[in-house]
Amino acid sequence: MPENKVKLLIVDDEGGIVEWITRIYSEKGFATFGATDGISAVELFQKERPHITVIDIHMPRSSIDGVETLKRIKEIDSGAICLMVTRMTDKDKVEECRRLGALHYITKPLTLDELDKVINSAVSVVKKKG
Amino acid sequence: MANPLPNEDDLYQQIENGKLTVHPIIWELLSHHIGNDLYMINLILGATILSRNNPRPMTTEEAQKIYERIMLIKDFLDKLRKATKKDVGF
Repeated sequence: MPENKVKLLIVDDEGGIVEWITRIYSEKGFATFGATDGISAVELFQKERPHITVIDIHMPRSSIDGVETLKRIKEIDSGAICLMVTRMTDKDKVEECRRLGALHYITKPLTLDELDKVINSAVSVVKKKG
Repeated sequence: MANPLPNEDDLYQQIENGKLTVHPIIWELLSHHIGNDLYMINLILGATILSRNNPRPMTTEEAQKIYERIMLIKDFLDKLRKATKKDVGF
């Protein structure tokens, strides 16, 4: 895997969503990783140190939810760039994620264009950080 | 969105005027099921026939996945309808 690729970690308890997003962004030139559980996501983050992490807030099939996953990732690296995927009913959790330092949040159901927009914006932040 | 009903604007106005709301439990279910299924359908379409950079025809397997998600939405709406069924109404 070339070192200059932007590393993207996708965290969602729906395997199909992880599979599709990783496939799409691999084709776009990213180095992609996926996790369907918050704990595995934190371990993967520790190991791979992705530049951008996209986390679903609501993960009923995961041992920890997206907010806790964000919190643990931020404990490893307070500068980690995290994007949160939320539902219309997650208002309180969105506020908590903001407080924990998430860069952006996007609300489901989202289109690929909307996802592209926030990921591209995060890539700009990665490039600025050097 | 489907073709609008002839009186759709009026219906939205009635919802606003009457301050009609959807119970939070129903919103919770709607945003979970419809949100995830539409997200998945959008991803498949965005990666294939609607891709901005590299549009390509959809495979039978990919079309099948979209169909499965549509059926999941239908099953969810049927279940919701059954759970909210009253003697009068829908």
